[in-house]
Amino acid sequence: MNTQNSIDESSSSSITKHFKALMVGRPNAGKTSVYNRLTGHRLKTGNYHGVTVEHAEGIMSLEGGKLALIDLPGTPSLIPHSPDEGLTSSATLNASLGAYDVLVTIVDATRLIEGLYLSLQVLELGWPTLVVINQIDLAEQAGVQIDLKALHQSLQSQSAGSKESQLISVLAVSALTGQGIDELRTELETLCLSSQSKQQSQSGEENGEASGVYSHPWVSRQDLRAQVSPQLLAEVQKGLPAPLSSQASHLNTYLHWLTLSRNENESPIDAKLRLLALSEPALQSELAEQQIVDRYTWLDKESTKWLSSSRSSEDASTAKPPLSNRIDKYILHPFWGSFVFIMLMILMFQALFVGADPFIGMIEDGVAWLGDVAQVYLPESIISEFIVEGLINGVGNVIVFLPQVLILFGLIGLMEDSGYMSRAAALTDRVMRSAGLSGRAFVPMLSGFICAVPAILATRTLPQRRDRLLTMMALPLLTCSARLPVYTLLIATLLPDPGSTLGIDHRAWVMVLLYLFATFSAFAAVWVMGKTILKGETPPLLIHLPDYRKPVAKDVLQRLSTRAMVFIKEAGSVILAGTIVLWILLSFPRLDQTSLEQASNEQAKATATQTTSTQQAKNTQKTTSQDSEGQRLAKQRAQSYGGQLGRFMEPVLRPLGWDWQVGVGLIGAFAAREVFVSTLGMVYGVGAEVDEESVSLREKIKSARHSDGSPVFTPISALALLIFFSLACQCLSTLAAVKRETGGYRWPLFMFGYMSVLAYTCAFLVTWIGTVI
Amino acid sequence: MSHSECQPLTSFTSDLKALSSLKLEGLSEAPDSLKTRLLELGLVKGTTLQVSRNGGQYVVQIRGDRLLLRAAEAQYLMVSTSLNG
Repeated sequence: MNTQNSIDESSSSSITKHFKALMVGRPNAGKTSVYNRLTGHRLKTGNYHGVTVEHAEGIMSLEGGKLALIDLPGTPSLIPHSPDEGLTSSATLNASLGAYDVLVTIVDATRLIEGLYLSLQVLELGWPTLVVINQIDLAEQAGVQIDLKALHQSLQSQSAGSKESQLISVLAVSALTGQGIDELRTELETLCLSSQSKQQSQSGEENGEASGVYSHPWVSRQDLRAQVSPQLLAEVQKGLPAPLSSQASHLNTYLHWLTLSRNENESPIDAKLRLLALSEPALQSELAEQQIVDRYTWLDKESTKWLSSSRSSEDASTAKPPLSNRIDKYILHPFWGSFVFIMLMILMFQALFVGADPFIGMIEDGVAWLGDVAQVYLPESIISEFIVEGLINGVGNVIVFLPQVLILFGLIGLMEDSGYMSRAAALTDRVMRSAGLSGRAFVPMLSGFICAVPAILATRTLPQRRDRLLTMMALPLLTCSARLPVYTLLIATLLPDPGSTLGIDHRAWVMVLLYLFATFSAFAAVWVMGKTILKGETPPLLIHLPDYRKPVAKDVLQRLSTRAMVFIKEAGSVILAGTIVLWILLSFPRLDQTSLEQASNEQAKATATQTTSTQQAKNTQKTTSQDSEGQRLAKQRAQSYGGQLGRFMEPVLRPLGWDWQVGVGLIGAFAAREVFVSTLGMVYGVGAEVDEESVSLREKIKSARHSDGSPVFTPISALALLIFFSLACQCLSTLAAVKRETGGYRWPLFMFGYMSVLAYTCAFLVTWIGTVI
Repeated sequence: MSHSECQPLTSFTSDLKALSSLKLEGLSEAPDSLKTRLLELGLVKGTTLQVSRNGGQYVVQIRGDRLLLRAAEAQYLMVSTSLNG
């Protein structure tokens, strides 16, 4: 359906115009698929509430200009219940003040009434709106017929009583097949041109005065019969940025919605406006519930005009393909559903660790090769040392995570697109609620087994701040993949010659126990914090169950690249910076030449003393130069700021059986946990190019001695170190992500504090009990 | 067992299989934010619901949409069987 107003001829000139449009819709309405069709930027689509946790912007070329199209997280309403919904609500309200030319609402044709409920709220803002009925092909297959002309007339009739006519368009498309997309493109441009033309004419008429108060008749019927006082409007107008203040005619509708749509991440301007608005009796939200009922009543009544009689609102439920219901009888069944879930999780972790292993090896080999090449071609200097040990190693520390991150997100993407993720959340709710969370925390928790950073970002889909904080505070306790190299090294020290039980290596059993211990610790932490510092009710569970559908391979693959970029941006930047800072700490102050030579001589002397025969001398000659270099490195690290810091920490570490070198390793682990291994390699003089499988490092660790001659790494001290690593928050990226998500230092500091105390206490208890036994 | 009068959904514990269609008579005193969200999801008075039960969870089908609720949330849904007698 075309817009009511014709386009101003002058508007469609050859001058390039720039437009902005905002896209909103319920979860699973196919909003992101429409966005991808329009912009060609196949960002990410999903079949689980909360897939789009940040807004995305794409540029769409029009005949007469360019359109910036913003895709927002799905929401069933403009009254937000979670931070991601709050983002949508705030942006939509701002759009109604002139921040955008057009609002686009995406409605699932197979769930028309619920989708149009959100469209009605958007229309109430009085701004030019394009209602896109998506998945029209699926609706037609299900026998649903929608009379677009009648629907347009119904929606238009809602604004007929206002002082100005509202620009409304209604179109039907299928983002899956591309049906109607060209028409959508054309209509979007038409509406943008009409909108700009209208705004310009209004701007001239109003000239910034607050007198032209606009009120959508729907809203005015309810609780805005008494208009907002001119004094309040004038005051509010002063607080708005210039581009918004010119849209004074929509202010009272905007303020009305502000009182209803409070969200924790609102802008300072909105927070100020809300306070002002709440002081106005006419804007109180007492009738909000009645408004909701009235909207649905209106939709049910009007739907007889545009929904075919066989699919009236009363019968719409029969439109759902029964297959999903039949599958859910098993998938949501307490026993069979849990069985399927556990099998899927086993397969997922198998794919994560077995599937990613060759790629991780390739990346590690590639980084080592690049370092070797750089050392060959770059002249020996502090710069080349920085490039190899700081920069290349730093980049390596970031990209080594990618195989597991990509596999995890690929599998999560498949679960989202197929519709299974909602069912998994429902199943896990039975366990989650025992700790005080809802099943919706399952997705962040699952991500936490690979990396806490994307997991923390995923908590934005949780409705309540308390639940977000609880989940965030517990996430770093889960065994992320960065811990695995440390575990592998320490388990080998703990169990040098392991046997097997039930045909499984004892080292593998220890690894499984560590996973279970971490999961138990995370749930225990949630439970304790939920009863103490974050007291509150267990959050309600309202999960939308989308129909099962076949995932689209292109969408899943495209999502990998998007999520990988988010990971590199969020975690990678901190890891890289941390690695560089670590290199500086361990490289300065530089040793003078005399000290370096002395270190080399000491090593040579030690080697000569230990060599008792000519044959041994020949065998050891080859490695002497490497040992000398290692000794030089060890001496450098010992004298460095990092080494000094390690010595400073030694009195605290000594009760746990560790020396200052372990302390340096712990400092290094802040950049990324797995850096602990290479840092130990450096401080023990084996070299930085070691990994958890390195025999020389394991031997060095075993032979490490305290000044009194006692071994540093005993089975007890190694176990204590494993427990410490399992519980400590040794990750700058995680702390940075928590700081960003909570908006301050309080929670990241608390997280670091409680986890450090917990880790130290448990490691101490292990040492003490081990010593007593 | 007769449930033609208005009762919490959770009172239909044993015989939900037979009670596929229920009429929503309203929402009892739920917390404000939950009540608003339930209403906005279309759970308004007079709506027909198709309900099934899985353990302690309820799947409510409404106008083609399907929602999963815990018993703790489902208890606020006041329903009757007046639709199918």
